[in-house]
Amino acid sequence: MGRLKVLERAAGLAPGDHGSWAYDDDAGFHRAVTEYFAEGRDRGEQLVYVGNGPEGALADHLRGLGQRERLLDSGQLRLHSVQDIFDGTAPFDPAARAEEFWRQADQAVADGYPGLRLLGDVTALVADPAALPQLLDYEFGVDRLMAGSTATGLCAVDQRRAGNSWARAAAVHGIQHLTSGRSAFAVRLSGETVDLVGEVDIANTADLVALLEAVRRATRGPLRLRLADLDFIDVGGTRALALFEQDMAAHGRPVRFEQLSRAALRTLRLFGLGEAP
Amino acid sequence: MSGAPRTVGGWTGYGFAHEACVYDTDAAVRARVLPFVEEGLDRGEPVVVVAGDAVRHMLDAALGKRVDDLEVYAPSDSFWFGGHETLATYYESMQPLLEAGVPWRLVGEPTWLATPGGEVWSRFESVANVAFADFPYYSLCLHDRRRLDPALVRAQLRVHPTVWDGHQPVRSPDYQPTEAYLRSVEPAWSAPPAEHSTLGITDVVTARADLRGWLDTRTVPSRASEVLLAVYELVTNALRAAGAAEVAQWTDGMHVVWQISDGGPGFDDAIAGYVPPPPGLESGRGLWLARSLADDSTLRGTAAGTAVRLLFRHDEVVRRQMAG
Repeated sequence: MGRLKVLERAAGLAPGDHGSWAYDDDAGFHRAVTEYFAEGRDRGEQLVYVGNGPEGALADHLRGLGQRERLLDSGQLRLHSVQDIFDGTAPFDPAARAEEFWRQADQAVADGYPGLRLLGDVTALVADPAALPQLLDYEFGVDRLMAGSTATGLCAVDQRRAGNSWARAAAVHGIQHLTSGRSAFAVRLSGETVDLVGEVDIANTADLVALLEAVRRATRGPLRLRLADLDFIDVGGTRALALFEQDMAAHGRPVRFEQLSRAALRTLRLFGLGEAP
Repeated sequence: MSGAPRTVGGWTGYGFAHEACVYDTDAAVRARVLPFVEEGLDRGEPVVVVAGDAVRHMLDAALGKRVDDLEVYAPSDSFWFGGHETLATYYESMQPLLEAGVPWRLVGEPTWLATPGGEVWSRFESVANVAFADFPYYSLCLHDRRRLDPALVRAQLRVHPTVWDGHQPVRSPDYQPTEAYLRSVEPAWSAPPAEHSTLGITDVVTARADLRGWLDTRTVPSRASEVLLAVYELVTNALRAAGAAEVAQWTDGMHVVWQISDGGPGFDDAIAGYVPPPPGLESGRGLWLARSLADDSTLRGTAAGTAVRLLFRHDEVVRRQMAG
């Protein structure tokens, strides 16, 4: 599945990429959105910005985007207020939203674009404890189908409003932009195979627990948990894996740890987990 | 009933008995081991044997098919993974016997004492006296004087409460309580040199990034990931205990020393971090892991809290040892 890719700039993304963008200042975020869509413009892609605020404000976020008016007039760039889509009157439906995403991706190709490039600001969902689990389900659902697709996706989260939950939304993505020196990991799902990549320590163990719970919801039956690209995991993080394995086994769902990195091997042995040496 | 078994002195099957048998002839080791094993089998006690080739060949010939009745029958070479891992392996292998709740016997021959780094095993023999005190087994540890440096034999006599005098188990006149023994062989607790670096850590979110940046310029390059993990585990322990950690680093002869200290309630348990983590997922494992990763370590309760020192050999020293 590959290593965790940390983004410094919102550039260099290509079809099949699915990333997250955490931000804590508006001006910096608007520059990132502009750069992201400028790259998509140059590729000739269908651009969709689902942002926080009315459409007029979203257009203003992109005031630095060259040919903005032409892109809007031609329909190549479309703006949607996240409040219009998630108005809080109905629960967030992961399956329906994933279906809508892929419908838009297919429509973009049908309309003659090489692919869809979408940026969605999911802060409101991340900040809502009731909606966050559904958002994670949605992200898993999208992420497992992104590889090889013509779509490019970036999920943005305003750390100031999302609180500590922002890291959980980020960790469903193998590509992440971070604003602090904290450790980062990603949980990727492909069928019944889970890849845990990056770094797990005391700062993000609770996030790992939440993501494993989301994995449990999103899957059925036994799991393979691959750790080939896990660069660091401490005792506390490994204990979280051990508790997950124990609880899954108690429910008749064995978890097999495979492809242990050297870092993972050291701590997993402490808990009797992993492949025989 | 005929009272206490003949080969185990006053041991009645309750608690841990720990004997060193130092021998210098094949006949002597046979005279001690064979009756001990046969008596255990006759009594229906599980008997575990982890021994060198000569002792196992002797048992093969003497016991015949009865070797199949041994609970575990393994060569010593397959049991040495360093002190921490080896004691943990013993501990793990004992779990079924503990669950069965019956007394058992162990014949152990730590032939690895004579291998590079094997001398550290004496510490773990000493730790076993405390950690396994309530376990119902008799551990008969064999030491071939023909193969071992005299200093290694002397160390064994200091860590076993009982020794074989050629006729019976007797109290070892050289025995030292565990804490005293460990303090005598661990690195001396001297004051850090005037020139040393320190790093204060208070933020759990950025603790590892802060530490990694600081360690990158000070670490032992070939051991960088082990140093980071070991120091980090102790930093997080300190953060949990006291909300703040201080890491100090200096060089002491062949070693780079990292000291992790905190201002928490403190403890001065000499065997902490030597004892294998118990089964179950809740108990702490960080100190055990840190001490197992380091080449040497020691711990003190201080007036201010707790301090742990981890020592890693200089790369240059390691290179010289490998070349030599």
